[in-house]
Amino acid sequence: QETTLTISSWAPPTHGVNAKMWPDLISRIEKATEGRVTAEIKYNLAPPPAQADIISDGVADIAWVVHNYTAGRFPSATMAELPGFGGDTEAFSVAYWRTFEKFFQQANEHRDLKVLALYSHGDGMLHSSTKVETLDQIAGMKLRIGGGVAGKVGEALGASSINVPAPRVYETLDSNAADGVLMPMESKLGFRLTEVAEHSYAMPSGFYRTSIATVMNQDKFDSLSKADQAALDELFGEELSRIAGALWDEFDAEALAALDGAGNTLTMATEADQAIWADKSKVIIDEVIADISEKGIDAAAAYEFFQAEFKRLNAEK
Amino acid sequence: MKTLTHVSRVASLANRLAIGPAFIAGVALFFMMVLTFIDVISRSVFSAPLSYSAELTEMAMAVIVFAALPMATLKGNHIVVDLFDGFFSTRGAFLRDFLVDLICIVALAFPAYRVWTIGTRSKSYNEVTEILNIPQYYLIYFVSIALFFCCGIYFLQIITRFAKSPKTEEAL
Amino acid sequence: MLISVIGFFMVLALSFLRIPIAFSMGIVGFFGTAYMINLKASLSLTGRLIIDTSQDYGLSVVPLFILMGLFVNKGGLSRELYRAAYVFLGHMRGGLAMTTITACAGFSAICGSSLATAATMSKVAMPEMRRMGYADSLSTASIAAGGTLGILIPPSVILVIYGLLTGTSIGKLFIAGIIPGLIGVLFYLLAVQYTVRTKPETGPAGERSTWADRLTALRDIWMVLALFFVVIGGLYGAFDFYPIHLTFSPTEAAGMGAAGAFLIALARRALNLASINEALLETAVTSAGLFAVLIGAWMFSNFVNLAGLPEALRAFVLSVGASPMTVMLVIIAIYIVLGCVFESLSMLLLTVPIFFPLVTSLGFDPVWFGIIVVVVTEISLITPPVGLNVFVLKGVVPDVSTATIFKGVTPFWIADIFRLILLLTFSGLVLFLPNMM
Ligand code: NA
Ligand code: NA
Repeated sequence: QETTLTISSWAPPTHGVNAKMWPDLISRIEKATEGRVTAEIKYNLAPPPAQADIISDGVADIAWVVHNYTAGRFPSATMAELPGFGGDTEAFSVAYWRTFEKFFQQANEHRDLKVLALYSHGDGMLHSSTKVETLDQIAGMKLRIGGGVAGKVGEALGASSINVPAPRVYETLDSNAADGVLMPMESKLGFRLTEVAEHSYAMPSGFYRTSIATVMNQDKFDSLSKADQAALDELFGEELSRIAGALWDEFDAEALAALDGAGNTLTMATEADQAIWADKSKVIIDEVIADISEKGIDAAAAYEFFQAEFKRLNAEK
Repeated sequence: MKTLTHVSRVASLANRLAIGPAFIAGVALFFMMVLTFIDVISRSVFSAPLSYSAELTEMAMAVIVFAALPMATLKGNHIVVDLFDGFFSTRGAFLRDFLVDLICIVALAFPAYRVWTIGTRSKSYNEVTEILNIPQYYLIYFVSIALFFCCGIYFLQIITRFAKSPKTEEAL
Repeated sequence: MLISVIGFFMVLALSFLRIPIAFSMGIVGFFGTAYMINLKASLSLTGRLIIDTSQDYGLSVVPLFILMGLFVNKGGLSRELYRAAYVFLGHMRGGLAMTTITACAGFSAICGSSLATAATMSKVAMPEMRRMGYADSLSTASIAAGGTLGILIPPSVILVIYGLLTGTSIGKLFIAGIIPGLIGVLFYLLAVQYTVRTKPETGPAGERSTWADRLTALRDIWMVLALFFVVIGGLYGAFDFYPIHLTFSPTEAAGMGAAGAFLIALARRALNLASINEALLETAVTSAGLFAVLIGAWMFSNFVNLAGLPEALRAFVLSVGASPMTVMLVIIAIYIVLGCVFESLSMLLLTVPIFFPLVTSLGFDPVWFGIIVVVVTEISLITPPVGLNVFVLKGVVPDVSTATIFKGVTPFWIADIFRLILLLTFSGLVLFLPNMM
């Protein structure tokens, strides 16, 4: 018999997650189960912050969950958003999964959910309508900044923060209500930032990331045949994290390739500014590690392991 | 005549049930207006936007909508199609209105209860708002309570209807 | 597809039993979703939708634009708008009806809702037209029709909701509404002329005003005009220069508009605690009703989404091989038929999630389609048997029969059909201004 899983998604159908990540996952699920299990995408069943809930309640079977949309619920995920993870998202995602298995899983933050993959969007950076070339230029700018660690990063940079939902970013920039936005390179295309924020400023060591999970309803997974469960467990976990991370690298690369044609620029932070940022970000890192430690996780050890794995894998790329 | 005083007593109870929350809704609306105004001026003129304005606006919205819902219910502000009203006799219309109220109570009570349990779950997850770290469950419980208030309004409406029913009027 | 259609007729049936439309859609959506998944999941989804819909940042525009209109009205400015239109048009045959149309358009520029525009202007215009011996059919019809402009001339609650549903820029939608709105005014004026030329007794001419009167009247309404230009200009980015840099998102435009109207009314000493309280309560209660419909409609559209209606519809259109324009005409026909029996907001909420993906995949512009949807929604407000603007008038003047109003309004919705054809043929009329942004 054939099972069709329902994938709950949001963001425009043209967004990489919908145009590439889900079709890729569907074909891999079909291949692993020899066609016995497949899946289809349903859009906008519930707003983004409700995605974890609708999966645990069985409204849909699989979804992508941005951890910081439900602040407080996934404390350990904030570690994956910290500065200092600049580089390859594929390497980052594998390191993230290994850290999750070793340190975070026991805290049971993803209750009633089967975590299929952990990853993040690419390096968060500044996109603005005026060209930024030094770190201190950011102080005093009005920036649209998302939740989670990004907020602390904006504060450390001395920017004032405007908090509007991602789909409203274009018009916020277009009307000059904000001078810029902290988002990954991929958003240049996804939110048409090439038109309203022509200049990007990136930090090689990383400003921040946004932690994301692909999750599945546990009961639904358990209802599959033992053979299919075993086959899918080969795919889920580190392997799917690697695949998802690689896809987000691809999304970034596409946007990067589009910069020249749109007359956009990308500036990398200077050595001196990188050193300044290392000092500033130390404060954020210590604060977050202290917060996570309160939740019964050995956060210091986890961070050390996470960084070591990431540095090793990133260097191998 | 005695029934009529009962009727007015029930009606004023319903009114009291609705007016308090409606007042809260009005205050929240005024607050939202002032907040937006200050945010825009502060951002445009002083280049200092309020980072929490969107978050407070979202919360104010939920307060406005749900605190005003009992009053909207009471005033019959819900949009209805009265196309076939002519087809119902007085008694038929009475029965129809009774059933409609009953359906509305049920259609509100189940989600109201579910919203409450979602609030409890949110509390156990420690969910807070992004910027101000306000626990989410405060607002969720508030929504649930407002929905139960609406159930109460419909319930009082049924009582009023029975007290004023065609039968009672004949008996008078 | 069949199950979605059954669901659709269930909504109709329930709402004809006088169950509030929010509940009709919600109940069918609830059981439909339960049928597609299971009862527990459906109940959870309902709970989440109730919590999340009301916290949508973009929707905060809705109460603020309603509040703006109410404050302007409390400030006595609706009367002065009427006066200003009268001094220029009153001396013509049917001049008072033309005054009404023009004043409605003016009020539309600061009010986001058609019902509120009709309700406000009826209190001002109806007594005047009766005093001048206008036929009830023409008086009521010109208010009911003029009121529909409320959702096309920016600001517009319906355009906001369309923008949020489809991810279309609300600023562009607002700007796009201006030219079709002005065409609407022109066509309505022609409809008035048609009426008074076929039946001269319906609308006698008034006295000609002096230029001194005209200037005085204009001076009285400058604040309304200023408010409109600040709100719409801020959206357009017109004040983004040193040292103010005054720019708004739609939400902020609404907040600034409401605050501006509040300050104007306050400056004119037209407000006291009681009337402020009244305006706030009325806005909150109206918004609560709208949100109830929104939540119900979202539940219903989740159900048809789960049942695969959007995909089935697209597959069907592709298999028939109809041309994009044929599909558009069919969609418009569906809207006009639905508009006869459906309340405008629920119609929009029920249909846009279904048609929008289809329409854009056929290559139509999302902004243009938004304006077309609003124009057909305007028509639905004045067509029998369920024409909400007509009912608003009926509420204000209970002694006029609904049939009389519907009869008087006929030339107006025919004018709307002509406008629709014009906008279908020349999409540039809609897209010219937004493309300049
Ligand atoms: Na308007
Ligand atoms: Na109609």
